[in-house]
Amino acid sequence: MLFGVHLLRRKRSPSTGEPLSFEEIYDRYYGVLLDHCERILGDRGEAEDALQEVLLRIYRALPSYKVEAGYSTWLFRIATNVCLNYLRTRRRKGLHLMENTDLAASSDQDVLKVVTARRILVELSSKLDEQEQQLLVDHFITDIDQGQLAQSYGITRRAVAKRLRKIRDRIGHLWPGDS
Amino acid sequence: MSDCPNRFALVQYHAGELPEPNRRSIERHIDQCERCSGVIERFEQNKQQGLEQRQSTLSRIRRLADADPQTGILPTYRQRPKGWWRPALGVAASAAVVIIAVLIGTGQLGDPPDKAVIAYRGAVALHVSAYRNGHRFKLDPDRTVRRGDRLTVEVTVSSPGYVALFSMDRQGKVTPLDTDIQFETNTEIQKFETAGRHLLKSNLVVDQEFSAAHIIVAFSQDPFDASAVQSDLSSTQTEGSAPAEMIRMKNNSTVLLDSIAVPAHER
Repeated sequence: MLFGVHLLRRKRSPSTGEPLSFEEIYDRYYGVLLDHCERILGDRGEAEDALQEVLLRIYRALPSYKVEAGYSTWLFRIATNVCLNYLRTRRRKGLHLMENTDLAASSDQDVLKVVTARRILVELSSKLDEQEQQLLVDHFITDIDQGQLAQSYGITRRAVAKRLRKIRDRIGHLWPGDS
Repeated sequence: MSDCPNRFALVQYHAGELPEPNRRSIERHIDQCERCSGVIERFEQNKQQGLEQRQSTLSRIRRLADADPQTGILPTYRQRPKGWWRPALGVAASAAVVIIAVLIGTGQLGDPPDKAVIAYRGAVALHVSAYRNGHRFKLDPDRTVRRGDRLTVEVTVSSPGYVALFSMDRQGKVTPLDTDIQFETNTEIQKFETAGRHLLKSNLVVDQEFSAAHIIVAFSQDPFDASAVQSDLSSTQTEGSAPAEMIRMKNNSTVLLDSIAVPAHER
């Protein structure tokens, strides 16, 4: 890579103070991003495809990204947007993923939350706008605590809780268990 | 465990983003919690997968990103410089162009450079997925393809252009791979009106006749002779090697290639 381009693509990591290049971001976050895409899409192959697009977007956006609260929130936001687009395309084409019945019957609360959130995104997305879908993913699939959510959305914790309640009222009985 | 940290905290721990006290407390928890250590293990396995395909993925991302005119973002090294010296740089560049043109015109610099090399060439990427019993997976050298598996072939192009698809067997013999889309009359190339991802073949079934070791896509922004590409690939290919990334045609135009290895399959 050209020297100038390399410099432009290096950013400062908030925790270590070390700048991160695109390659370093790839090495450090590939594993967690692939996991995140797979949790949203429920399909390994599709998650790998989506991750390619996520990496492409990261590569393009990195020179203009201002590191404030670390990389993971930003990177996961990009990944969530790409995966929600994949789900929209899937719906538009009338493709339905057969949910693994073992997962749906799991007693693991985390697995149940993910499977239910995915079902809501696939079946009831017309009831939610894009921001609400994003919040649903952040809360149930990414599993970000409400304090961090409030920080990343630039609103208060109470406002986050209020938005989640609003979504719950619209989704009704499908709302994943523990909140 | 009810006192497990949020999954996102595990993400931040794995990425090395947490400050020291939080990091240590999560580390202590992971040591005692099977579930959370399983999550970290999973991140690590994914990471290893990423590292194994690091080189090819990074080069593909760069090719697509740096060459995509549809985004409106030019590659960084092509961006116009900002500042007071811009006009001066413009004058210097113009003067250099005039001098080079004069030198070329008078034969002092030999043959003019190949326009196809200087001009934007676009980029192409091939995606092949396999379906077995309703499950989809990406082609992977470690996974055997079985008879009855169905393959889909998709191509992403960075700009409108022309595409041809080939299959190469293990002896290096190259043959055209038919697609679901009707080719233009009297030509073996497919015209794409738009940049982006296009489905070329949705039902390529692995059967006894199936002998592909590589699936290859050729792409150019201008029409090209697919049979010439086929014979070039056949003549330059050695057994077992991956196809080249670019072919220079006789008329000096450039055809870009991307390929995916098909793992050995059971007959």
